[in-house]
Amino acid sequence: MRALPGDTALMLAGQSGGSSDPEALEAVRRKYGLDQPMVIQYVRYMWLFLQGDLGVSSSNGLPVGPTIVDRLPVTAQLALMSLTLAAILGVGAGILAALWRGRAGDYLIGIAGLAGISVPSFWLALVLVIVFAVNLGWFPASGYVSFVDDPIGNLTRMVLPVCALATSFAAIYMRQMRSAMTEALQTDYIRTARAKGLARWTIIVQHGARNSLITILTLTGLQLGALISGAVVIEQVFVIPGYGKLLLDAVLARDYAVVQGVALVTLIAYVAISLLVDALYALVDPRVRTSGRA
Amino acid sequence: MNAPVVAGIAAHDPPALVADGLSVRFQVGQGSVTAVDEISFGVRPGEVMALVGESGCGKSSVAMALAGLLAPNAELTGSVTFGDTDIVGLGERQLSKIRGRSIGVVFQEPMTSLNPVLTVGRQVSEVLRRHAGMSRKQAAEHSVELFERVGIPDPRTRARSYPHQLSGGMRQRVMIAMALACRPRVLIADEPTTALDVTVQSTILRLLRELGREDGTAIVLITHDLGVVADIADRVAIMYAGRFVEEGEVHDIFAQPSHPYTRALLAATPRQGEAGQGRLAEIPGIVPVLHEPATSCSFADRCTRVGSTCHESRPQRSRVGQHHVWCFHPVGEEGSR
Amino acid sequence: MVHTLRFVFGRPATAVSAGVILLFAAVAVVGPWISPYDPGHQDYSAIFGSPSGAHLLGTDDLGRDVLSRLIEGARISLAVALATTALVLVVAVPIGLVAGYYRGWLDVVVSRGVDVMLAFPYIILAVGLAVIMGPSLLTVTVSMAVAVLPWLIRIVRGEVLSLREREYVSGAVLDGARTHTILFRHLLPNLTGPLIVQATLLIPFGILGEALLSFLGLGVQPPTATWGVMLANAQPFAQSNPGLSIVPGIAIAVVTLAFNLLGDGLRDLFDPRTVR
Repeated sequence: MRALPGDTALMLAGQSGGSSDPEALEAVRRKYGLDQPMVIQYVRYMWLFLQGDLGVSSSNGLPVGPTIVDRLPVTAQLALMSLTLAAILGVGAGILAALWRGRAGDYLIGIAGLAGISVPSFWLALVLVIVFAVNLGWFPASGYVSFVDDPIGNLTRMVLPVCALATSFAAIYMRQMRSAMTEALQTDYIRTARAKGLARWTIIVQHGARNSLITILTLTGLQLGALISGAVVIEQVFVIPGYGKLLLDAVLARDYAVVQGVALVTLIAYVAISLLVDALYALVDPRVRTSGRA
Repeated sequence: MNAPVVAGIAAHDPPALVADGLSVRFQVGQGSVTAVDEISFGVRPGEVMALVGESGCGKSSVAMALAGLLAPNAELTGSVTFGDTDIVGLGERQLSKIRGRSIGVVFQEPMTSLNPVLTVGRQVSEVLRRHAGMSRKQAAEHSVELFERVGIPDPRTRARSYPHQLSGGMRQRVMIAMALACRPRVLIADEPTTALDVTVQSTILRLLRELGREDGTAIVLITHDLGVVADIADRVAIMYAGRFVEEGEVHDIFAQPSHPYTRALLAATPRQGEAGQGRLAEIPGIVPVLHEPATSCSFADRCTRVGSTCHESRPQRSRVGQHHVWCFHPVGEEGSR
Repeated sequence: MVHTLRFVFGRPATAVSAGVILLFAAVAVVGPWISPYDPGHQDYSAIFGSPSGAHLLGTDDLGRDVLSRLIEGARISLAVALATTALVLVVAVPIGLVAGYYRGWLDVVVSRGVDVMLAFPYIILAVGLAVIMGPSLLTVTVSMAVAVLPWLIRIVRGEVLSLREREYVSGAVLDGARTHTILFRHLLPNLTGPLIVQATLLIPFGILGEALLSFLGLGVQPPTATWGVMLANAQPFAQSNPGLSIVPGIAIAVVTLAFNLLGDGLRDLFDPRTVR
């Protein structure tokens, strides 16, 4: 991030109302330790980071740590709701497509899925706003309120962003689920399940879908980066004060402290979620759980 | 080795399963392939009937047809009757009430035939819950008893295992427990020991026969291995290109094989005790693929006793000693050549 | 080649997609000659004009002709998409080839690197690049390429690993064929099918990426008209003039869908193993 052009001190000085005269700049540099060598700056940063101090934003002077803590739940809500919606829609449609393989329903779902990955999410967001906010007036066009303050207001404002963000992920889930399920339905154990005379629904859900979930879990792990990227864009369109918007604004404003903080927290979150996905693997696939003693 | 039909099961008990004029054709692209060509047989309760032949002879198609498990591109004609129900033409929903209850199936690959993400106990329980109306708890309890019955040591613990934690032999025991859970009239065993270690093959086969006799279950055993037939079957049908070529009591056929193909098969099979891996590669030629029902003897091209009639019409069933053969020039009728 | 064409035009979905793509490419190439107006020309007497004989798709907030801007956008979209695809192929194919062929520690390093890159949100990367390099066409191209690079490396490596096991390759290895002979004579030609499929799927990714980054102000800068820039311009007027937002979006969606459909179709042709 230090490679970014532009002089932080210049911006900080401008921020605190000072002019660009050399003396003021020098003072600012000293205050934030910017006159120290890079290595020292880095070590100092990490030391403070471990104490929970991520420095101060150069664009508004607020401490970075609390800002991130403030913004994180917003994006977490958006991402989790979108992922849940996408998984429900995608897995359901994928199962149906696999069951209707080669028939009209499969074809329609396939086209819908392709459309889902072809439509840019930010454009979809615009269209949703035009249709449902501007013309029909069902939902607010933008903004955010905390769930704690106003649950209904929070949810109505979340509907359009969640739909916009979920669409492409639902399409990806659908395509993956369709092929996983098609494969599962051709396995020997599905034949066994049929030979046992189990009800069709039991066969599909307990024997077919359960095995396909492993694929879905892998996919979720891989889509994490894309999910964060998607959230950045959607937050921008709907003016949601989330983590993504914080990052984008910070980069555009060359607010190093915020960018560094966000990047670090993202990395930690990523590692945490990866561990969670691994734990879920063990829950879904007994072969992973017992690989130690098998 | 071929025990006579056990006491209590009379030779003229009504058959548990009757297949009559059973044919299976597969739609492949524009054409179709005849896999099974009008075969008829019956199996009595407690009896083990083996269908034997090389791969591609249609024996597995017969097995799948009996269980109503043929692929969607298969066309099934004739009749398959269990008691008084004909399953040919039944829909998936009606079939699902018969499968698991009246017909059990043991497949060749115990590795892939069990669901990897469910405990084996659960996989047995669900049959009981579906067909015997048991509660989750009763079914779990009864599954443990079934595991004990098929000789799984420490059944209570094993019921909580996943398939990958069990050996091949144990998995096949689970399959057998599953197939016999509801004491079906008929058990179809499709190459049940082919994928197993030679050392456990015989144990599994004997287990199958014992359980079949205890419950009075008719067993249809599909195999390519005449050693297996000699081991546990009461009756045997030799199949070639979708048809029976010889059928009868095992000891009759082994003592007096009349069809040239049966003789070739027997000659290609190592004697008992020499590890029964009869791969039958010694008969020159391959099993023909039939697009139309045959109008001649299908074995004619590979036969050493072939005559002109063999190419002109299909051999009909005839009696040789105590069993049946489909051949114009059966061995033993030297005068006819 | 003839076989491929027959396949593509023999099925309605792929035939229509191929038609759309050809039209898109044609418009992109001859754009300057068929464009009714200069896409940058501002006509303050015709602001927010509705579609009419003079302006088929109307005019925008500065009175610029939407159709002409759409045509210029097609040109830039295609350029960015092709450049991204080429860049990715040039970098990913050798890496994947070498990693899959030599395996060992090299493969481990490449695979782990790919995993890390896959996890990283590409948008953060693009944003960072945009700030370092300044927002431009080149920035868009490079960031989109970096974003898809790990996917393609992974695919090429996987293909090579499976090809390596085939008899003709292991035979060539045993015969003591030189490494570059094996790589370029035996492996590369067999990658053509999968690579064509991937290229077909990379192009829409490039188009979407350009639109997204330009929309966020990180890519192509106004006044150059690209589909993303047009959408960004139109956003403030979404309520009063929704048409300005809808037209470029439809262009993006239709072209992307066409490429995706064609890619799926070609996958059936080149990789029949995939369950579809």
